[in-house]
Amino acid sequence: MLTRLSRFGLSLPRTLVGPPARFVSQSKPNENVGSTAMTELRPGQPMTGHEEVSEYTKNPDYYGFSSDPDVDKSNMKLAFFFGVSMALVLGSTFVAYIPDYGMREWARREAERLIVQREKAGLPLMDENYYDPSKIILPPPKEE
Amino acid sequence: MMKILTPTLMLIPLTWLSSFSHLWRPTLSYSFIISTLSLTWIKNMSETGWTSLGLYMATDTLSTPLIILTCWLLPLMILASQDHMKTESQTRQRLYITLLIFLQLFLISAFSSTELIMFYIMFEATLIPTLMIITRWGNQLERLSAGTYLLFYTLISSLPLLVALLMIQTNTGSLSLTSAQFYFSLIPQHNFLWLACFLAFLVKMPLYGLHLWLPKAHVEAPIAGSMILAAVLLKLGGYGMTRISTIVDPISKNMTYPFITLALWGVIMTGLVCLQQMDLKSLIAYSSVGHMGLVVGGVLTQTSWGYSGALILMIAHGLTSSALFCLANINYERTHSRIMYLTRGLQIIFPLMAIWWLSFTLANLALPPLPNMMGELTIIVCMFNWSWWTIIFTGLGTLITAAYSLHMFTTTQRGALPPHITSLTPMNIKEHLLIILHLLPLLLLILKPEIITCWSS
Amino acid sequence: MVNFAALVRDHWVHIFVPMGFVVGYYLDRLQDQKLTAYRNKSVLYARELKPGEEVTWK
Repeated sequence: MLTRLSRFGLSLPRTLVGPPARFVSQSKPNENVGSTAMTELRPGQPMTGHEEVSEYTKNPDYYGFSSDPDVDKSNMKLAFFFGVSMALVLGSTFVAYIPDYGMREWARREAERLIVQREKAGLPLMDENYYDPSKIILPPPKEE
Repeated sequence: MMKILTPTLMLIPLTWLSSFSHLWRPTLSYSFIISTLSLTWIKNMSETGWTSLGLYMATDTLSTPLIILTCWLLPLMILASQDHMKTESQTRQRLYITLLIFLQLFLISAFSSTELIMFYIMFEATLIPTLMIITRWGNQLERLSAGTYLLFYTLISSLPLLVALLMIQTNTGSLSLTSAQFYFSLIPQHNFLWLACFLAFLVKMPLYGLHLWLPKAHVEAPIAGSMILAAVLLKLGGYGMTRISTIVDPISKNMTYPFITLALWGVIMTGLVCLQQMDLKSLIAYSSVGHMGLVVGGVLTQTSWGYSGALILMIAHGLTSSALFCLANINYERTHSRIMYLTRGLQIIFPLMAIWWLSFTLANLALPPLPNMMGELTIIVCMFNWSWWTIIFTGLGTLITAAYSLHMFTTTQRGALPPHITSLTPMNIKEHLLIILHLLPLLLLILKPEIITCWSS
Repeated sequence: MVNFAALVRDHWVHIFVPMGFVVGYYLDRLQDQKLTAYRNKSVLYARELKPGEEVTWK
């Protein structure tokens, strides 16, 4: 009974989780004592119904993705491929070599070049009009 | 824009039609692919600010990092809630993933819309999946009252925003954000208009005093709900404030005083609340309120330093607090208790997890090279420039932040193991991967800070 | 051939997201095409085309 209770504590369905105090007084027999202890534990298993044993007793290489060992392993590989190899490595490579976010460095270089050019030509650094006013032909005012 | 939205939409039939044994695998892989694709928005070659401009949607340097954060959170949420959902029935698992996908859809639409009314609709629409996730998949009965708090706080505060938007629409004939900076001469500026425009976002942030819904929602929500709530939904408030402040610009100079004061006072008060907190999730939730108080202060000063500091802090805090909730959930799945004094001394059992706790605790208290620190420092400098009195609040706030972060770390990790903990399932690779996927983007942002810093109106 | 049919039967759900991407990409292109109608039409910012130039972008 105690062993089953302790399994409850490991992976109890959420709906049954009560106040945490319920788990305070449990004691856990050491599962790794030896083969005899393990065989003693076994008969309890088929009766467990909806509750589950720790995944590590079924699958020592448990990765946390699925209770089926094959699906577990392939899911792990896929998650690592898409999460780390693709999103992080490829993504950060893309971001690292992206050309000049928001054209800010370009704007700075262009401004420095223009200042040098204008100082050489003796022009004021900045013109009053961005566009040549003679080029702008306003539409006739009676548009409305 | 559509090249991310339609694949996200297509994740829904994928969720419902893929075989049950392989339900989590394709959704996880494809959401990772979508989040990688979303990085293409960083390629921003425009001089005007707006890129990938459509009729209703566009991104700029403010929304791009937030959208990418949203896209990044979906695979992480799927990864995190797998164990949590194992005992649920097939339909419920599918429904859960569908709700998360809908949340991502609404959030991307909210962050990228150029029309204020569409932003408003999407802002409200995110409430529905959040509410369903909290009230259906929460752990305890209190989730219902948490849902009520969440719903009514956010709904009541955002109704004035709708009225204000309708008024702006009648006065200017347009609600487009692309020309928002030309509006304010057309709008009859009034203190109530400012309040109506900002209240919805101040509650969503949340500002101290209007924050009561947040710790409740965080404590009761399942892991994915807490993650998305801390990482992205709160940032909706900061984003909205930054956007709307271009419209109601001139009046807010005298309206901001009480709110900045309240925000900074909140940094200290929530820090003190954290120091006496027993509940791990509640502590993390209150620490988000404190950090968001700094963001509110930064945005309300309406300086370019304030805005960019707020953006950095929002992104960094999004990754940090989401990871802290994941760690709290990993603890919870093993010990079935959120009470910190019942789960002490875990360092002995999970040494590697102690490293994750340490790194995210340090991120939370803004250790220097991390983006959290860049954000906080930018905001603190900007606030100091606004009024030098604020240095008392921000300085004390930072001190208390460090104190409660270390309190959280020492209580959960150090010391002797309490005698009632006798058997704990070892951590598995999935959980390590989940934490690494939070940590590495945070570290990589140090190397390329300009993608989250450069926003100024 | 049987293998191919089995492949299709087992993995047909994987078409959704790539299809969504293709459709989305097409919609984006369509939108861009639609917006080019406004390019170089502004009275203030329009400029004359250089000889041999068809459009101001590209």
